[in-house]
Amino acid sequence: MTTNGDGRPQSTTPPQSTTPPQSTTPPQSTPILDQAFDAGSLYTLRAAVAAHATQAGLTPGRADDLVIAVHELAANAVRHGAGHGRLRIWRSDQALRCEITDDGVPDAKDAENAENAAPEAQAPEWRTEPGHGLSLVRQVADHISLSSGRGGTSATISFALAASGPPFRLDWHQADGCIVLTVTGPLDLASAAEFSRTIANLLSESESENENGNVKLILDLAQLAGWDSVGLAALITAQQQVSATPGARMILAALPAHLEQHLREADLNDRFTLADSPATAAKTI
Amino acid sequence: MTVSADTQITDLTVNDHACLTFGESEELFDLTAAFVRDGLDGGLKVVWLSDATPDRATAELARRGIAVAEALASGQLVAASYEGRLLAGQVFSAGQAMTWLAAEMATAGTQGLRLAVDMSWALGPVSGVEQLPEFEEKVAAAVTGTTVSVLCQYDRERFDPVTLASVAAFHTRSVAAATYHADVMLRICRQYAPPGIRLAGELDYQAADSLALALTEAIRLEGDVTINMAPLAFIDVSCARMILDAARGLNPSTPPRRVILRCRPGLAARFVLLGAADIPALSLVTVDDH
Repeated sequence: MTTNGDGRPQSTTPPQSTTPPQSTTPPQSTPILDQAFDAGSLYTLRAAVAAHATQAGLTPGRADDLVIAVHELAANAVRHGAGHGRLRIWRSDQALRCEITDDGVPDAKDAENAENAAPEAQAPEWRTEPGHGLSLVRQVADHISLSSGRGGTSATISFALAASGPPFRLDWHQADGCIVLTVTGPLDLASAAEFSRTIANLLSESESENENGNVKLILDLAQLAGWDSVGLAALITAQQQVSATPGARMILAALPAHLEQHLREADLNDRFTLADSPATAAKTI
Repeated sequence: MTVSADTQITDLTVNDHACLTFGESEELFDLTAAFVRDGLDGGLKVVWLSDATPDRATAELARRGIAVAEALASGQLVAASYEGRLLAGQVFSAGQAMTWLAAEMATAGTQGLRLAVDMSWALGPVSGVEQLPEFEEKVAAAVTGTTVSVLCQYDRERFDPVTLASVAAFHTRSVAAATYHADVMLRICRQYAPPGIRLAGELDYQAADSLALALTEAIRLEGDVTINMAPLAFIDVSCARMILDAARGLNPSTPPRRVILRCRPGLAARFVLLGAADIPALSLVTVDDH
């Protein structure tokens, strides 16, 4: 299912019955994907998003992240909103921007299918309790904005397209009784396994050398280009391994500002100890 | 949602002559591993004839937790080809095959014998294949009242329904994997070795009822539960949370039980972001992308 020349969906799914709500920043350009969806077409929606994400140049890990983010927002519209909705994706030089809208008016057919559709369709709002996929969307998307009103709901997420930069590499050295591991390039599906192996090796080697344990690990992330969900999960797992090792500690040093902001927005900052620089980290660890 | 009414592979006992139908090689290896495991545990001699090479066959069993090295060394387990047993070149004769079976039964003696035969040889250009129903009938007669059980393995996608129907009558039981959901998008079925469930395809909230039933039945069994998601390309948040909640629920059990999630790196990361690492009973095993 693709778009034709004028950007109208060639979808077999029901068209929008009313005008969708205005997005917060109306785009001028033509979307690269414009597709209506309902419960029966979420699979084709995911397939279309995956194809366009890869075509636009997202790495395989980031393409998977875009697919789950769009799916969760679309499934929300199906289950808790109108029962159907519309996805549009625009591409700029820097990012893919996806807008999922839901006009808040359930079709009679959709209302039968959607759980609790009727009461929520009258007062659409974004729900954030456990079971809802929104927390995961916050973890994988670079930015997210949500709006709702009488006209329905609108969610916009963006995924930055990777700028060319240095490839992934790991370097480590000992300094002031600490191990400083410098991570360069993207921490993602392609590199996370090497990162995790290295952390595990450093922990076990240091533990066997030092009978008291007390491994002090500083990750110098000044050259970290970014992460996908696999890279982010590798950082979380590394922290958990360190926490499970008696006396061991880990500090993330010099995390680029946009990644630090992403950690905060994803509600993951409490899991880590951050420092401005490896030197500051060495003093406080 | 369909749950097969057939006998489970783990229910087979002595002097069963069972007809197993399977849909794909993963399922064949899984069900065979359970049949072999229970036979070895019961002290029986176990023989598996298949069109896989003996090395491949035993590697597939080992991958599913069977201690093949010891069993092969002691002679308790034999994985073999058809040649000289069921076939002589491209020729099948029910009489010759029965001669081989009688010899195997005599060798096993009072130890008892479990014999699994992948019947895919009968799909090839073999002369004498029309004697297949006769062979099945003779096997049924031969194992009655003995300590021998035979599991004939038929690929339900490749054998025609007429052949399957013609041989079915000679079997005491029919066996298949319990299936909770099967359509073009998704397959949810029981896994027998190691015990748990297997998910293949794409799983979202619309199949949550099937997943819930499969998880409930898997947890009702004893021991560790493996959720094999290696062939799963997509899982949404509600289904991932359902699996995590099931693992959380096992936490205070005695004796301690583990839930092992086998999945590709992308899905493993999704489980981590949803809190998998905070669940003590849960192990994440990452399998390579293919």
